[in-house]
Amino acid sequence: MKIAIPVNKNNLDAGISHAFGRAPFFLFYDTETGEEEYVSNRSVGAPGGAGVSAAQQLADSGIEVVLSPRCGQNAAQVLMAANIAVYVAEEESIQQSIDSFTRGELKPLVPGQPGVNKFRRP
Amino acid sequence: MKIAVLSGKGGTGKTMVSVNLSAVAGRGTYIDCDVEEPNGHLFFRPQWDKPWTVSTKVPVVDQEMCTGCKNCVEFCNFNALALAGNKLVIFEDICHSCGGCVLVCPHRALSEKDRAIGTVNSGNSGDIAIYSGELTPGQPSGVPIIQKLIQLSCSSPSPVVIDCPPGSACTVMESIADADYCLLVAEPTVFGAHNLELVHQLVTLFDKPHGAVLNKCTAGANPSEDYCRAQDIPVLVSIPFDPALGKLTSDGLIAANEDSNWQTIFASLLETVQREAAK
Repeated sequence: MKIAIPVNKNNLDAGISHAFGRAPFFLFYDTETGEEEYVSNRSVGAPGGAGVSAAQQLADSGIEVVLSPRCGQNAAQVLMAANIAVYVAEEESIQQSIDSFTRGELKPLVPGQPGVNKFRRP
Repeated sequence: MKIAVLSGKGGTGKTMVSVNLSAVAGRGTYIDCDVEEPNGHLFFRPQWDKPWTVSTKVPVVDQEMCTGCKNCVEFCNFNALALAGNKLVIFEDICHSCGGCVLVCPHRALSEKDRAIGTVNSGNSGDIAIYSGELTPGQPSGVPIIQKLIQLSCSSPSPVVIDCPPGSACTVMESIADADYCLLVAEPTVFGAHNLELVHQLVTLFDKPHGAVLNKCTAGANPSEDYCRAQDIPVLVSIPFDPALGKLTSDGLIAANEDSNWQTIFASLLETVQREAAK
């Protein structure tokens, strides 16, 4: 399973980005092979719709799961349409989040109210 | 003669100055371009005619015709379209109505539809024609409403007073585009002077004749006045900080109609603007 995490830098110590659409990088992690790849988020400097465009990038990359502290309404709509599941990544460390996810401990994000610009936890 | 009244920040007295200018003119036109919170009508209490609905174009997709080529997704600078799960997703809120996606679609899967974003009201208050735009809450840009206001009022009687939105963004540019003269209203604070500088840069960029109204002046320092002096901006009038003027205005009254002193001050301001604009 191919998962994506918005991250601040292109290494494992960088920490999870609290922005989704404007996170500098995404970590792509394959849970079967343990392979990891840091990919630049091409929407960092987008004049608008960064969330939509970042979600498009993940959909195009065959991502199946996103672990993120939050995610905007528009990005979520694209991710859902692309059948990408989104889970709340609460831990500071990337490795902890991956471990929690593989143990099935992360909660799915559910869409919040329009304009709130983040997801409400269930 | 079109006079735009603008300021770098809200609350400086744009509407107060605008309605008083229209009132002392006795006839003419007042346009409220502050479409996010139009309040000039509270002073004029006009009889409204039937409102116009203002719409913009947004794309609609025929999913049957869409092959998922993503030409439109890649074309859109604002990322208003996405292709997910082989379906095109359209974000109307992000769309800037450029129509480009429709043009680049090789399969004619995209067309345009109208999307209502607000209204324009017009009416009369005595011999003053009133136009007031209102953006529907949640809509991203009031520019199309301002375009409609300017278009509808193009043959309306002079002088035309354009009460602009605060700031120096696109909506303000649209409001002042056709103006013959720009009146910059500023407060006597450091913050006020900073915001005055922003609108001053804007009217300079647009090459508009302009002058300042210094509002709420006290005996103390006036950074906005200092800025005007340094930049050679003519100060057309300095209005003192006056609780009585504040009270009249907050009661929805036009000071020039209530008090002969204010009548004299604003009549003189209107004359000065007309003289300056004719230069």
